[in-house]
Amino acid sequence: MRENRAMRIYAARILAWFFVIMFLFTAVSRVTASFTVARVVVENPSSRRISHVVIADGIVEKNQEFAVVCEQGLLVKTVYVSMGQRVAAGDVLAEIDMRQLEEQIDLVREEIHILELTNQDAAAVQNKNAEDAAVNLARAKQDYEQIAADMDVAVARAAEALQSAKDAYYGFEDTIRAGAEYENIFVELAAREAAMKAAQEAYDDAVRDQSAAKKNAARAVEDAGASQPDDHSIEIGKLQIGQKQRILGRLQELSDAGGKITAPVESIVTGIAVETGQKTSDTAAVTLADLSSGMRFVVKIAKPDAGYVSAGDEVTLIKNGNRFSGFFIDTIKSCEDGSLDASVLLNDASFTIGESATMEISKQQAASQTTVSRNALCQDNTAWFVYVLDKKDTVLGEQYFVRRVDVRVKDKNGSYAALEDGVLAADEMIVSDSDRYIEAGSRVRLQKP
Amino acid sequence: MNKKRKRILICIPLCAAAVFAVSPVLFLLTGTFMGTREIASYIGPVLGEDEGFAVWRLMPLYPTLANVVELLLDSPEFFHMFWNTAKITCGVLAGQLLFGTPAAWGLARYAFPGKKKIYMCYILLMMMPFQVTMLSEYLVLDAMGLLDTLWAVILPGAFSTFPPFIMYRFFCGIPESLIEAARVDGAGEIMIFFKIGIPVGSSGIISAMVLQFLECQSMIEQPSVFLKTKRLWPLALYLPEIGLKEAGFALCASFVALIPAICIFLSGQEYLEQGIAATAIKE
Repeated sequence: MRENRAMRIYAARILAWFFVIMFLFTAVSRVTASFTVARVVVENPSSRRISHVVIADGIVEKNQEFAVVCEQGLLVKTVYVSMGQRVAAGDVLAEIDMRQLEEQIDLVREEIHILELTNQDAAAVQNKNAEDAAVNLARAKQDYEQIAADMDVAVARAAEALQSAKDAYYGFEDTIRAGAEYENIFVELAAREAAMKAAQEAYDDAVRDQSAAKKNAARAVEDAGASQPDDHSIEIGKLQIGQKQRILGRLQELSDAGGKITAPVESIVTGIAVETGQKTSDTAAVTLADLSSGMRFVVKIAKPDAGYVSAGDEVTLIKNGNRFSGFFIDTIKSCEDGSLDASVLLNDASFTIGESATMEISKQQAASQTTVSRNALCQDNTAWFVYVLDKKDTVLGEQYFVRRVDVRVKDKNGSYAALEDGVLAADEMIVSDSDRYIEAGSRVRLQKP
Repeated sequence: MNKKRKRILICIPLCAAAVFAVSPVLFLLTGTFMGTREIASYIGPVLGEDEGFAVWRLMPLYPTLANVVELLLDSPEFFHMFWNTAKITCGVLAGQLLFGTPAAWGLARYAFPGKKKIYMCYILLMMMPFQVTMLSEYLVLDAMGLLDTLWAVILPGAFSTFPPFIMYRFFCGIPESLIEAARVDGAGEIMIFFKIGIPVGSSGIISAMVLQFLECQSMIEQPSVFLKTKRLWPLALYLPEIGLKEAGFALCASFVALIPAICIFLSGQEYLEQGIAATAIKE
């Protein structure tokens, strides 16, 4: 009995402590649950236009640039301008030493004279050569005719001799056939045959000699009549004279201007290649940016923003806090890395070459019915998605859980994202912010924004 | 020796049967300290996730307190349902004490017209399963506007017929001479009930309460029918909600839910035996 009573009391105590512990852990579990449950801010999908603001820094550059050239080899006396200096039309850029200029002019004149004399000599030589060639040709022709005539005579004589020898031989044969008797017929016949052969050989030799002599004479005529190689020394000389005369002209102009190199139009000095005390080179002495053709604001658009910029877009330029509107993108060039080089034509006196400014382009896309804040959009390896709030009846009452919904993004900027219609209802609550990491199925609490 | 041998021969099968009977509790206890993966590897074949036969170890290979920590610190819904169960149990027991005890005393000690018929109704209602009376209870509770409230479970339990039946047996065992003596001494009926009936019949009352407590802890049909809101569900409905992937947590929750029943049983074991014996006595 005592044991049973003790057991009952012990069991009752355990039960009492059990309820105390359960009460304590009820509170503890509620507290820990409140720590682990994320607090979220929700929003409803709305209709909105997605605007894209592209901001990029750039620099004002010259629109057109031209070079002021000067004759090479002139001594620079003074340089009056510096880099970036604005000059008006007629302003003196640099001055050449007049004495050295005059010397240069004299030198050029002498060179021209030398070339002229050289040309005269060359012309005389050409004439003499032509005359000599004509005389040689005439003589060669005469020689050819004479040789031909002489050779014809020799051949004719050899032909006569041959004919005589043949007549003597064949006549003797006829005589023998006719029955005439001679002493040493065979010796006679052999002698006549030998004579005929000799005459034949003499004839052949004469013909051969005639051919050779004629050939040689004809060659002599050809050689005499061969054309002489072209001699362009006179034309070259004329050209050189022309070049020198042009140089002389420029030097003379510079001399008439007192050795001063001036700016042709209002411009800004962008390059100076001459130095005081040095001689001018074959490059431009001074390069100027023509202000009459305006300036150009050039900027590089990064690849993420490249899709929102196109030629003709209106831009706003911001300089020192001031905004200048009414400009448009003039040219766009795509780069290999996907960025764009854009330029804006400037005719505003508020800008000067070399200044930095910021370009701002604002574009609005077509209105979208399903737009959520950018924070509501999540992405994993596969797709874009949002978390939708669902209310469920649980043991602890009505609670909120999040459900993942995959979406397709039509457009987005830094603040909002336009989603494809039909995936989200207008009354659905989309999680736009959370103070903890959440995933599909997580229990959450609503937090007022 | 024969007696000793006999005792041994009797004890062995009894011990085996006892181990077999206690094995579910051991299953719960060891599973409480096992990780989910270890449990899945043991009972995977049962769940259709593995081939072969299910096995179990009495000692976890990789013991862990993760399930206990998760239950105690990260499961507010478990405690909510536990207190729902406590409310239902306390309400039912209080109702039984308030209505069942006087009803059993009246049936046991007084003779009035229709007593036997009423007693027969009690027996009849006691034998009917819940499925038979479910529809009539539902209609009555709906008409009273008590559906989807804890009263829908408490009231039918408070007016359950089985506890009065247990108490009736004990009240019948009180000698009539004791009652007469009290009447002679001038005690009224109410005083007799409170001063003699309840103290003398306390065994029966306690055993009835113990049995009713155990009934309330495992009550699953009435809450599932009459309670739609999950917020009102007792622990018996929560445990099946736990997924099989949280097997370790489920076993731990089941073991914790078992502790009050064990304590109550240990407290009222003696009275429970008396109560069960009393029901076997034929009138």
